[in-house]
Amino acid sequence: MSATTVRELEPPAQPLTPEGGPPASARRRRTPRLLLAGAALVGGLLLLPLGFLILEAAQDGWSTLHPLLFRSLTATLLWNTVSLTVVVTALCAVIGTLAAWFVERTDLPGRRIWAVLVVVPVGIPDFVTSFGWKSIFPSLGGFGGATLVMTLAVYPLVYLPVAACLRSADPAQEEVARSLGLGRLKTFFRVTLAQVRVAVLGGCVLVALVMLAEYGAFEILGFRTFTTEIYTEFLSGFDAPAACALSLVLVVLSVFVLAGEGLSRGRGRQSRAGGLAARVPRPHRLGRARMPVLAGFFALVGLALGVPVGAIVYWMLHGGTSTLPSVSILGAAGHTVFYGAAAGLLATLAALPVAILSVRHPGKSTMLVERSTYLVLAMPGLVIALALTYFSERYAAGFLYQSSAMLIAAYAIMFFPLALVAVRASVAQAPAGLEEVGRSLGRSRLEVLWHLTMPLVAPGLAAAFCLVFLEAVTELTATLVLIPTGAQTLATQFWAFQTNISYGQAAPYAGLMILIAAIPSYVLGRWFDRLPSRAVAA
Amino acid sequence: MTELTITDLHKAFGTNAVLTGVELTVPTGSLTAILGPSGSGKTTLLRLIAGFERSDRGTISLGGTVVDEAGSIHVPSERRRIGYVPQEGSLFPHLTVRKNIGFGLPRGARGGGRVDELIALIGMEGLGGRYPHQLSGGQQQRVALARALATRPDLVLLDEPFSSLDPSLRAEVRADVRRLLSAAGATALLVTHDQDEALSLADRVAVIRCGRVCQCDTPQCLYDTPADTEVAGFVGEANLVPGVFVGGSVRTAFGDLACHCGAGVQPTAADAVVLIRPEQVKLCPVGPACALAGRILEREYHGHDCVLRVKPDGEDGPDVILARISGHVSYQVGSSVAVSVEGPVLAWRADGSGLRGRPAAP
Repeated sequence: MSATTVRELEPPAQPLTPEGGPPASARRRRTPRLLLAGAALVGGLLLLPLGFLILEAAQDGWSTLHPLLFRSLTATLLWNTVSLTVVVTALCAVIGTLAAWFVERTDLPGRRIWAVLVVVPVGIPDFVTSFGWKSIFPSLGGFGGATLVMTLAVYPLVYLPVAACLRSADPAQEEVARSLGLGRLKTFFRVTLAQVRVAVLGGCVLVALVMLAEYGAFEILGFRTFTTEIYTEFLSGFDAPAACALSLVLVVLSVFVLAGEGLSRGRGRQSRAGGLAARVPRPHRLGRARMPVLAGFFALVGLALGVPVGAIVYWMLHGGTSTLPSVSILGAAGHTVFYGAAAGLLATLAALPVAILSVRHPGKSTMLVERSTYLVLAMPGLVIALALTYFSERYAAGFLYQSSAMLIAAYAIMFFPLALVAVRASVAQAPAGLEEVGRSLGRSRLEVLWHLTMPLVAPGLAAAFCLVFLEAVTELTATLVLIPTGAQTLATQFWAFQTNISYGQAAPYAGLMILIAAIPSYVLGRWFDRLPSRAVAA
Repeated sequence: MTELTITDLHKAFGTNAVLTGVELTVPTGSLTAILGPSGSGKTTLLRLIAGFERSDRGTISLGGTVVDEAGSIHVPSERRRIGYVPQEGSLFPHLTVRKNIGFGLPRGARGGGRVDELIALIGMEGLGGRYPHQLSGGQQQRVALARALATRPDLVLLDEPFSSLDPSLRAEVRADVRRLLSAAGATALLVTHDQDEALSLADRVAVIRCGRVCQCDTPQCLYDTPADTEVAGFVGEANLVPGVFVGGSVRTAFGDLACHCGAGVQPTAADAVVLIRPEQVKLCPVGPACALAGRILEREYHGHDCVLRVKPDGEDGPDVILARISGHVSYQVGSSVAVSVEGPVLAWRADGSGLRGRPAAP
């Protein structure tokens, strides 16, 4: 299985030692046992849900699972899920790549503003986008509706890595291609696309994984996929074997996505001799294409951002009454922030040993631990939540079920890969060489940790926390399963109103959720902007 | 007085033996260069001295105190009183120039005169508030050196400090470093793979090969009387031609040449390998009787001088001879010249028995 998806988002690694001698890593001392043990423990805990799922399947036995797996419902769900995933992924690849190229490489008017507006939809939860569309166009639904809404909601996942790749890619390659006699179009297809290929693939994998895990948006649009069916089975009296069988198929699909990415990456690597200081490329002239392209951007942002935000604002202004008991929005916000913050803290702390191990002590055992943590990527949030629930019900007499602790743990497991990306990048910001210099200057180990390592690592740890917090705040599916009795988060309360078609009541919850999520997004944006200069300086 | 003494130092990473019995002494106040090709173990040696690694065998003494003795003593890096300047400078990216330089000083002294003094010494007045990424490569290296010198260490270690700089900048920073080190009166050990750098900068040069020091001498001795043919080729361009010992001289295709061989007086008629540096080769258009005739194959013009590849006529003569001549004499490729050699030259016994310091055959 490949672990490359999340790695794409990382800043470039430290250059290799120019010497032919043993690489820097080999010179390091032996891997500390305690660190390895900590990382292995984290890896083991992350794999618990998968373990529970397999245990559950084994308990039910093949004779129970066989009829559940091979029925027409499974075939229908498989067709729905796979066809939608393929179509949306393909559309996102095209839209995301083209948008990134226009923003980064052409003289599109207002490039800076577009660069922000095009990304913003990623901060709006998919089920809110879906709600926005459905509340304005009640007839929307089915395959077509799901394709439209999901494409608009997730294309930034392709846009972001491709734009980052175009920014750092060597523009001289395009110039060389032109000098070798290739036209503009040929250059785009044979050079530019080749440069961003890995980034596009990485984005596509993210899109496909999101598609497989999404529940809320499909439920609103009335489109049946594995997740909606699993949730229905869960609600309708805890049909454990059926939900388990469907979950297994879903996990296998996700593993296929991850593995497929690894295979299709190929061996080509981008390499460049000399320093990293890339010239800013001269933007391509759009010429007569300027107006159509500009219209395209207006349409994209209008549909992806304007419709959901407009719908929320509309429903907030036009209120409405609800038959549901009114709940304090501040109380729900409090729960949301608390669960998100606790999960952010837990995931960041858990990522530390794994990150330190992978940056400072690369090796076989390290790789094994690291790879095992990536298996989490193949576990949709709903499956993780259900696996924890089953285990609690069956083997622990309901211990921890619907407790804050279990919800926070589920968040931490789900978003661990995100935390690991940021924590590893931050650990790489403080190379061991700096600590050595610090100690050679006569400062003790503790002083070096406090004055050198902490200041360098802290911004990255904050970023990891923000990433997990952001995701946890906008999480719906696992929250619905695991929410402690009597408590409500913004997402679950929004869902309750929305299901009840109390759009006016639901809208403020969505609005507040997006606002809370916007703060860490801003912090994150600033951190990633600062990264390159700091990396070069180090 | 001796600042650093290393005896029989061994270090292996797994099955890969990197250092196999290094012997080295560095006199107080000197600048010693460790010169070796990539992978010869020179950086590992530096890291052992700095205390970032532990040795497998042997001892390291700093100023008469043993700081590393395999299995028993390992003084941590922060208590060795050394200054360390890594390859890329490794300035702390979150600290200003002032704070970088003051990092190793006691708390009270970090804002004080010592930092100003060093900033003045490296000629960066007014730049104390800058961050590392706002500095050029040369400035970064100067700050890294000032940081290492701030605590007045007994020994400064420099790990290829100029390799990441532009060639045009290198000479300038090299001269600065030399000046700063002597101004501070510091003992310094510099690791490099650039023979030009080692010869021009250091008081003494230790050539390291296959994990041990095979020769340690002044730059001039090293260039004029290298221990063996490999060292000869490593510290400069070398023509190695066959010859035969005849009394106190050696007979070659260029005639009988005076021999100031480091191998002692050799029996007449023994086969020899003769080292002729390119600048000892003289060319002239019309050959005197004893000169060898040849033809110019290639010409590499440097301005101040010019390196020519000359093919001597005849089948049994030497293959191709490198000649370094003054830049304003112009020879065209293909023209005939007469080749002579200005002695004395260095010669070794061809069977290897007269070679100094050659490592035992594996």
